Amino acid sequence: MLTLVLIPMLHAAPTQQIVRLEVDAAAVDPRLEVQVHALWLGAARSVTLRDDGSTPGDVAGDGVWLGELRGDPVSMLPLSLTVARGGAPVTAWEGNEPIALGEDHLSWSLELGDTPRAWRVAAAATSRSARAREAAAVTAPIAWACFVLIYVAWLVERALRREED
Amino acid sequence: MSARWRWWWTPLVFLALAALWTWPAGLAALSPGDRLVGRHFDVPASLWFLGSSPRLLLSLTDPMTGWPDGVTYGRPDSFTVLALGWALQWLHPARVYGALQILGVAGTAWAAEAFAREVGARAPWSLLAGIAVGFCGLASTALLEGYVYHVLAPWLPLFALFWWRACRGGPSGEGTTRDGLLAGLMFSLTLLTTAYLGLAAGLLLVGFAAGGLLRRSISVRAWAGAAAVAVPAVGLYVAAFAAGGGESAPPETAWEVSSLGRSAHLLAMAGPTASQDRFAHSASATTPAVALCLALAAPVALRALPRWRALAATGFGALVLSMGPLLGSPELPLGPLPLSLLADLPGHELLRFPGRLGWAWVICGGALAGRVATELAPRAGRPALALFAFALVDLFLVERLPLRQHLQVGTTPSAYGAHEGPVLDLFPEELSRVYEFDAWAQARSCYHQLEHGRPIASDCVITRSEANPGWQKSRALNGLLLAGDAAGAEALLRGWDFETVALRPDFYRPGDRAKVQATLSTLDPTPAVSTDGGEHLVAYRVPP
Repeated sequence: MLTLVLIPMLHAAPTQQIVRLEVDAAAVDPRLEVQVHALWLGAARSVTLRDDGSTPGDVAGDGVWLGELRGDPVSMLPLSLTVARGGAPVTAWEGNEPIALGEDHLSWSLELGDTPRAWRVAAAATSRSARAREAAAVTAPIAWACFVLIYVAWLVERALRREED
Repeated sequence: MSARWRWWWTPLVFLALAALWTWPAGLAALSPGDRLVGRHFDVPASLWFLGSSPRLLLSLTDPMTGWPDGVTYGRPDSFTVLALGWALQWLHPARVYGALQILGVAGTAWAAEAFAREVGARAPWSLLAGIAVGFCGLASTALLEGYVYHVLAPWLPLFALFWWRACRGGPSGEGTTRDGLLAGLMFSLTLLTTAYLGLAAGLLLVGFAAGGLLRRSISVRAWAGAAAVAVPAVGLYVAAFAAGGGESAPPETAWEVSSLGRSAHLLAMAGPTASQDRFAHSASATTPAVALCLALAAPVALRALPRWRALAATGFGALVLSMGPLLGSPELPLGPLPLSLLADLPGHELLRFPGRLGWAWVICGGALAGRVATELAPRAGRPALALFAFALVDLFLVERLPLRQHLQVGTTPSAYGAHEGPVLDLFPEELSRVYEFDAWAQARSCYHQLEHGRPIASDCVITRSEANPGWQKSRALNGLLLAGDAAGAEALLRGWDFETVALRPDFYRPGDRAKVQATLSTLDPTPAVSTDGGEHLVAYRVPP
């Protein structure tokens, strides 16, 4: 386990920055075009996010659009997210994001209405599975604590029984 | 098993665990200072504090920040860090910071293990106490958020140790004057490390003393010894705090104080989530499950042993206080807690982070856990060894360090080196579309000062943007630049005696960026430009 933890971090002096971008559109629309625009150290950069399975790790048509930007190390990126559905692109989100050195993930949840809106979320997944993931992050430790409590209770009972014997 | 355990195995185990848990702090400690370890903006700010300590230590007044007036940092976060920064000034602050992350966690854990042995635990079971304290949720938050001094506090468990002895009386042996003096010294060091840890020490002080008074077996000479050291130190600290001025804390509602990141509410006690890391400063108040469950078994496992009730009452009392004024979460309040009674007292707004009182809980809970495990292990047999495996699960799978840790760019844009003299870092003012942008901008401009060594406009400790002189000057200058008033901008900059404007054009909206750069270009048509150090920086020289 510890090896798995350490290996990705052994190269801790990255000279290239990777920013993985994920947008949960929660809808499948063949006309949908999702783009992320960045001003990366003074240079305008854009990437079209895809949900066709062409990006490693992507499941085609699942509503999660993936893309990535690469460049020199950057500490904060001004970004905007635009959405088009057969017409002119509309800015659904814009802001500045602090970027972790090496590799970082940025995720948005996109609401497609008359005026598309997006907001930053922490988990890179569809809204439903993101909520499930957040809930799991809370409930799993509680379940773990319950297991440990039962184990400790069993130890106490075993110790008391041996003491009586 | 205890008989075979060598005392020096304990610090080695904690050092190894700390090196893994704080990874990649070990790499940062060995690096030339090109990377910072931590997720949030307090990391570069803390590094500035550490690196600037040689000039802050003596007077707390810094002419190099808040230019041209300077800033008096009357309420520094940690006098201990000031002293350490001064002593280690020959090393790059990023290396010192990385080393302190490891040594702080390991040292605090070792001290907590020693306290557990004092209350009757035996090695290796006492290691569970060290794990409960050095590797708890509060420690992970300190590492991720950037407050290394919160884990740099072996004094707190050592205070618990000597005060526990000082509150001993009766046939088991009375606390000595030496115990009291050392307790007073450790209390003072804890307070000097950070005020919140001092408050946690205060809870231990009251809890253990109450236990001694209830048993009517106190040691007057030990208490006198502690008071002889701690009372003058606390008096000096309070006087310095009162005279220091600093940032006034606005009144806050119970809801705000109970919010995630402030109090140890139920969600934060369960386990850290991705959202907490992204939007709530990695707030975590978890206690390793193995320590919590063993502590809960104390009424059964320790029922025949003396003094465990004082330890348990102090610990669980501190836990309740750390939960803030409301039970539950702000979104789902289940009722008021004792801390809500403080709401009407003057100065209550100073206690903005009740969650940090949880340090008193983990120290008592950890010691109870070590004591319970020591009692159970000989009779429960080999299955008790699984407790150590459970502790590793708590560290690496529940708290999920080092996987949650981030690196930040640690180098400085080279354009700062194009000119000399005071520099005004210019950022846009954004109210709606940014995530803590002002705080990030301020922290990074302060951090860069460690490298370029030029006076800057920012106050590097203040947290409210509007009160920061750097933000105020940036706002005034932006107004003139956006209006195209080059003469006014030049006069303003000369009035403040700045030699350079360091512009981050990327963060302006396109229209504003064009206006600001056009106006600045009339001051300096050939600015220095750099894209290293993780930032696109354009440095305009103010005409002499």
